[in-house]
Amino acid sequence: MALGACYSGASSVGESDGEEDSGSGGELPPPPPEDASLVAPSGLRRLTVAEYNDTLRDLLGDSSQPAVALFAEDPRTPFDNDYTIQSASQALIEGADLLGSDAADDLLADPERKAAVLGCAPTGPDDETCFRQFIKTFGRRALRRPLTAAEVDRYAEFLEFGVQDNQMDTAVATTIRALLQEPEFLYRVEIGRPVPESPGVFKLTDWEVASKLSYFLWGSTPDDWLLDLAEAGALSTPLEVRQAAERMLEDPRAIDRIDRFHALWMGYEQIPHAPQLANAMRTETRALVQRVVFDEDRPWQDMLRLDETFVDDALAQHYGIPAPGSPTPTWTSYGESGRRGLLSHGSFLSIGAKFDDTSPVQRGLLIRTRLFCQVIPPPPPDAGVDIDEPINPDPDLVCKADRYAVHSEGACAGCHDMLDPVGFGLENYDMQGRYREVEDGMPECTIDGQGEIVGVGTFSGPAELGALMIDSGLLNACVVRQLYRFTVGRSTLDEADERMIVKVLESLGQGDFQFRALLLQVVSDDGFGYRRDEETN
Amino acid sequence: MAIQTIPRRSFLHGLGGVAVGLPALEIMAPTQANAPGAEIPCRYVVAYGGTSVGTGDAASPTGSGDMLVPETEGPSYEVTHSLRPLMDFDVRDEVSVVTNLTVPWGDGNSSPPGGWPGGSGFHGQTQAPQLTGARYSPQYEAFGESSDVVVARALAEDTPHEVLRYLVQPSSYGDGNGTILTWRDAGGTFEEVAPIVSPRLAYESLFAGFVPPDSDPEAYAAAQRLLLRRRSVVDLVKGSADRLMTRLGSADRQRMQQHLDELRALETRLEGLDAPTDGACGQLAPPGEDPPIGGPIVVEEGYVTTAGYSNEDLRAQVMADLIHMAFTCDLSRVATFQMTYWFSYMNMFPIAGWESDMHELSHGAGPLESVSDSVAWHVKHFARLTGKLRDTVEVDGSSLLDHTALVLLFEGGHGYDPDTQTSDSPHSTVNMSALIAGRAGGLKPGQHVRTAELHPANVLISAMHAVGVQQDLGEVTGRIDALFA
Repeated sequence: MALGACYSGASSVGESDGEEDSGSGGELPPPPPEDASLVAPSGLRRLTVAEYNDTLRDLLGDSSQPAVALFAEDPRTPFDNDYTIQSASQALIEGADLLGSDAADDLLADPERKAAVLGCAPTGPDDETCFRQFIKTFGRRALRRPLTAAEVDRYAEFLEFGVQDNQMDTAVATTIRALLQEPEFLYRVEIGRPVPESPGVFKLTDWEVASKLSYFLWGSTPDDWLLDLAEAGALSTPLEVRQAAERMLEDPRAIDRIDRFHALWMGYEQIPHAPQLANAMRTETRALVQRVVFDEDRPWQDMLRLDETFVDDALAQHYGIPAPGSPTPTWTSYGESGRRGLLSHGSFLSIGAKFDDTSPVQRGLLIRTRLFCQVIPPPPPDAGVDIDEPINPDPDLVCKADRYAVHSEGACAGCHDMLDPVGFGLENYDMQGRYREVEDGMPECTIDGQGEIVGVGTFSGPAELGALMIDSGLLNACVVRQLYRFTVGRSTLDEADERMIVKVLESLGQGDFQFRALLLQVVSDDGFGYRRDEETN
Repeated sequence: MAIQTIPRRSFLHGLGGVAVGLPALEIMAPTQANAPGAEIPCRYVVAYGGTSVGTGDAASPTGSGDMLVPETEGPSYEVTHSLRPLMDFDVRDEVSVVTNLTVPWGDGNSSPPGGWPGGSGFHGQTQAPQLTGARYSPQYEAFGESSDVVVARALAEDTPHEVLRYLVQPSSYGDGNGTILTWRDAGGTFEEVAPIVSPRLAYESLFAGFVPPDSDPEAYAAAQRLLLRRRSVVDLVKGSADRLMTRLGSADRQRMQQHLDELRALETRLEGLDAPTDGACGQLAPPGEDPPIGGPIVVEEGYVTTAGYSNEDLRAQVMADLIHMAFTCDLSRVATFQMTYWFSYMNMFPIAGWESDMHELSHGAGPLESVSDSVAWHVKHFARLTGKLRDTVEVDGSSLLDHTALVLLFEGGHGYDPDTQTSDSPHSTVNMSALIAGRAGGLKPGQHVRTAELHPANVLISAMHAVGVQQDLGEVTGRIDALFA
């Protein structure tokens, strides 16, 4: 069966009222995927706090990030969107209601935003034409699909509230409040249409593809342009999806999204420094993402290799690199400072701290587990993981390197030789990203800054570490894996996921690759447009 | 003329929308004879503090210690540093201190019944054993239901809020550490249930539909219209969820079912509640906007900032007030009151003047007194709630506290740490302590009970028995008889 030729790509939605039957009548069944074994399971995915906030920003022009105060924080695993650990609660339902109410009130208090959302000027509180038009237009945006006639009628009944209050605002507020509580608003629902040849496999509707694309690349709701593509049936083939994605990557929201992906991935989303410093560091890192991934479409590896960074005089001074002579951030050469790329950023270097100093073990663990995706077994029962230094019976050992040497003894060495030398190679850089020759508060302890990735090579400092990591051949597989987990919203991956990762990696290769190309490859894989029902207990 | 007795619940559902100006509690005076079964219900609270109760290290170089455990046992125990707030709120005699509790640990790889592995870290592993009585496993997190779920099944009846779940600390302050006190059975696994983190939301949720009957007629009518609109919204959303269910696969149906159940519960709550004006039950003044949420803790700049703090002191007060009023109005009978995240990074400077966060203090960033202040802060809010319940008079002249059992648990004790095999660590589940307040079911508070290394869940079981739930919890069995008369 030819793809695209005989498939109508109809946007079959709103079977919710039983008024339209999917798969019956004149609609052709969807074509099977190229490789059903690559099709991953998917389930209901509730919007994360961040996605909810950005969705409200795009739907209503509300930039106040209200969900932070009213919803519980999403656990970081390390991403914030693992749907397998989400569950409904009174807190969620009540929170969604109050958020909806607040959002509606805020909108109506702002004439400009209100006019933009309402889209028509009502002639009076009983202007049903205007009200219905608003319901259809805004409803399509909110639910990410067109409302059925029955749904529009149900919402149109709210007009009565406006008439009672002698102002349409009341009807509009009630409508917004309801739409922001609809399950198809709060959750990304993927059902799709069953593929006859592959039981349990479904082809996503164009509307579902639109949502999947926009939450992946923008972390927010599809805009009218993307919804129109779905309406026209123009998100049915891999080529069409790729074209849409290319255009979406031109949108600044994509930069924020990929920046967020990196921050969650590595763990610098919340930087434990004073706001001014923390913000400067986030700006620095976001600029690197923008330049490498978007503006100059460089190899992703330049994230670790770039010899410039985006800092102002204050931050440059903080790092101890030559100041650019600018009070606002600008691209500044690292020169011979021994720094290159993200591993030199204060954001990255703030991770893996223990108490008020760096922990070579934690930094090593970060690189091994998050950047190489290696599994390090938990320490044995008699290891002291939560104290600030290794068990040390010798009080004469003062300097860190000496104290940590005990890790290389006996059973400890197996794991610690993988971790400590990585971290020690960065010890010249404190948790604020500053260079230091000696340990904090202990001038007699000179830091030699020599490190090693056992099995790969030796290095000293972030520039050499970045180069070594690239040479190790361990990065690409991990980047793909982490991006995949972020895309599907699951930390634990199954066979279909693994096969897809292998496929993507084969095409990516082991050398330099463009992150944009990786993103496009993920979305334009034939499997992206399909889903599988989950196995139930 | 005999006062007509009305079951408490029918009053709260609104007597045909008519404003009732009589003192609420007087007309709801079910005597044993007139209204069999209309007894005063029991209430149950589980509170939690994300700190160990003591420490060693630099704070106590001669060995780990705490400033909590009283020297004397039995009644009239002396009030120690950490227990000082019990005196401030004059509730020493309403609260028992249970000490020398232990959560068992394993060989590092697996947990014993009701225990933790004891070899792959500490933080995050003592919650499930304490709150569910079942062992912790990294794979499954929890193997049992938490006691609030168990107790609510017996106690909640048709109260509008089956369990109030409140979390005071609204942010992890940078590390995404855990917040959960509740696990419920999700058919084969146990899933976490999120708490409410916003005092404002907690308020709105509790008093949803309340209409002060003595407000002017226009305001009353407007409030009724708003309630009607809310009901229409929930009805519409519920309809959408119902229809969506028919299209979902079985795994998603399970998820949506939970969502639908919560929508139905909300719908029930919005049936309309006329708030009484007299008596102890009444709508509280709105708490206003939530205090802003602080950013991640800033280690090197010192703690003399708002980082790592979201005015938890005020949040705790608001939430405790809501629990108290919910109990008074019989809007709920069960509450979880989590004051801090486990492994809490909450800034202790605004609270007690220590330039550090709660977790660092337990690792020697301050003297033992500082850790004791962390403990005392939780005891303060626990004591305050206990006092309010004690000062609320029931229909028969008893106090609300006479029908309540409250437990305060802490993340850890101090002493032996199976990770390091050292004896002065806060990462320890020996030397644990818990508080239990109230006089429900024969509880005899005001005692220091030093146990023979019982499990903190035994304290919960005692509270459960006190409120009429004669069960054990998870893999832990038995109440602590010494806590009862």
